[in-house]
Amino acid sequence: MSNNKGDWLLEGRNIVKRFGPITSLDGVDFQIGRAGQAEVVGLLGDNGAGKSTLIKVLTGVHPPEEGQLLWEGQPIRLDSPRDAMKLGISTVYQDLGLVDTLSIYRNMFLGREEAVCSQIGPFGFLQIDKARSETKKALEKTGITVRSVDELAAKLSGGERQAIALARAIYFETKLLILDEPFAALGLKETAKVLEMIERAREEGVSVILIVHNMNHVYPIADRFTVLSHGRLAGSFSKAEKTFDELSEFIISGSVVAETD
Amino acid sequence: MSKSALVRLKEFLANRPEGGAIVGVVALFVFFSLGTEHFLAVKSFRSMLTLAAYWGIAAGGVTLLMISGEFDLSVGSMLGLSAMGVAIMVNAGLPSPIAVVMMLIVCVAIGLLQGLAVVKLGIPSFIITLGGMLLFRAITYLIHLVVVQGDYVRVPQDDAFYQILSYRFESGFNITPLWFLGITVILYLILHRTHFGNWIFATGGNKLAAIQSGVPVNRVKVILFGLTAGLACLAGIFEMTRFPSVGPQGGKLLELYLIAMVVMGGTRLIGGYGSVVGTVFGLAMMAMMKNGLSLMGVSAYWYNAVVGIIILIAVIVNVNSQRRALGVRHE
Repeated sequence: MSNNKGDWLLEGRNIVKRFGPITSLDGVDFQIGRAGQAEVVGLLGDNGAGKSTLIKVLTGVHPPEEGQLLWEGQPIRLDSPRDAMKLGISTVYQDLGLVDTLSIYRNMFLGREEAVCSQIGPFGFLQIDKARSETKKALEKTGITVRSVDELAAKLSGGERQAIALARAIYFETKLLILDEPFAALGLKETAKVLEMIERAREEGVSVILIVHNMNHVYPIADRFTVLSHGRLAGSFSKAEKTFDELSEFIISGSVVAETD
Repeated sequence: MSKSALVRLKEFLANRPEGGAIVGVVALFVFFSLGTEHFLAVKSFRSMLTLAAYWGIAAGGVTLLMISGEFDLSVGSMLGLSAMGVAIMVNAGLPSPIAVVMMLIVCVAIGLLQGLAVVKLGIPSFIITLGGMLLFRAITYLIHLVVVQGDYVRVPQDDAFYQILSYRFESGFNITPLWFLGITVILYLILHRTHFGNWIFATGGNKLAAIQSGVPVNRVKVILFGLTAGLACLAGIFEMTRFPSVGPQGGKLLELYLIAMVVMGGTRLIGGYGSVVGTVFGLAMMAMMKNGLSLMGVSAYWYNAVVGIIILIAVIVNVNSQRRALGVRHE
């Protein structure tokens, strides 16, 4: 995996995604993580602007009709979430990250059980003890305390769920973390905790795409902003280019411009 | 600080899917032991064991499939078809091991096809396998009518391969429960100790989260439809070898009793939660009811009424304990 200077960690060029007669993304360009430099990018825009669709293209849920994805400068195809996970793209969806009927430690390794499997002949068996202790370690590292890793996810609060989903995403050699409305179900204290986790992830070299409605949450922590409007790129700025107010206004007026053209 | 044993037992039972079924088994056991004098006899135990083993070979597949969030209503018909198919093939001169393997391949293929139809067409498994249930039963009757003109199909009792499947010991005990035990242990290991088992729970528990975690949920379901059909086929063959002849009605309505036993064992009807061990307790409950009520001389009409009521009670208890274990957030 070479990472030439100037290559982005993940780049989307001219992405087009249609659902039947509806064009959700109409030639969108997107970049994150220039030259191995971890950054937090806020993905902004009104409802229906195409944020969620773009995320789903970047994570292999919906392969695009047109356009090209590049990972560290190399063209790639993402046909399933598994493809994206293999590259190091982890996604935490709003309240969809965990399986309620599974214990915390089983959620932790869901889809990546090979990390705690021992091979006996052709069969891989879960090492329950290892899975439990690794889960404890990962949660401690991210500063989360739970009563027991054997507890079912159904018993957790919204904040605990979000924190565990995040801890899981970070645990597996993630290079790019995508968070869809991570604060939606959280209280003040829990929001602060998740913000802290995002900052810690960036320090450890993980780039983060944040989809957040509340500008108050995303402005302080993001390095750059990409604004979508009606399926098109309305603009992309670093924090130095726009103040909080200017950016807020741009999102509103950007929508207006796109509507009239 | 140490809690009393009773409190701990209560906690244990409340936090496990099979908790309610354990209580049910104990209650029915005590009731029938006191209520009939022959319930505790070896002969009674033997017949319950054989019955539970026959059901249980098919019930394991039904359990895993239900945990993944799907049903198979064609299990009973599949079982009847496989018994009839193998018996006829052997009578036509095919060696029994080859007939059994051929039937297994056919049944697994049919199961996989039903699974593919469910995931690819997006039609609920209830409908797809209801079609299968009617179709396979009709095919069994047609084969029966055309090949042997509606006569009973004889099953050779001295066939060496059949002996391996259902050998009867001097004591009168049958070897089938050992097969059931082996299959159950394997299914237990798959469900609780392999990544595939984790995927089964996740597929039934939260399909979207499973997909986003990289679990191939459709493949999981299709494989489980194949497994369920294969085990139903095996159950049919085991049952067939115990009797001197076979008719086209084998396994009729069994799919519903199997679902009842699996749910009585604590597996959640909509998936995501359950256990193979619980199903064993569910089987034990049903076998005890069938045996105990007939020992008590209960008539067939009352028998169905009592079984129906006990199934209802068991399911209500389990649904409540599942609500407690899983919270009510998403219900």
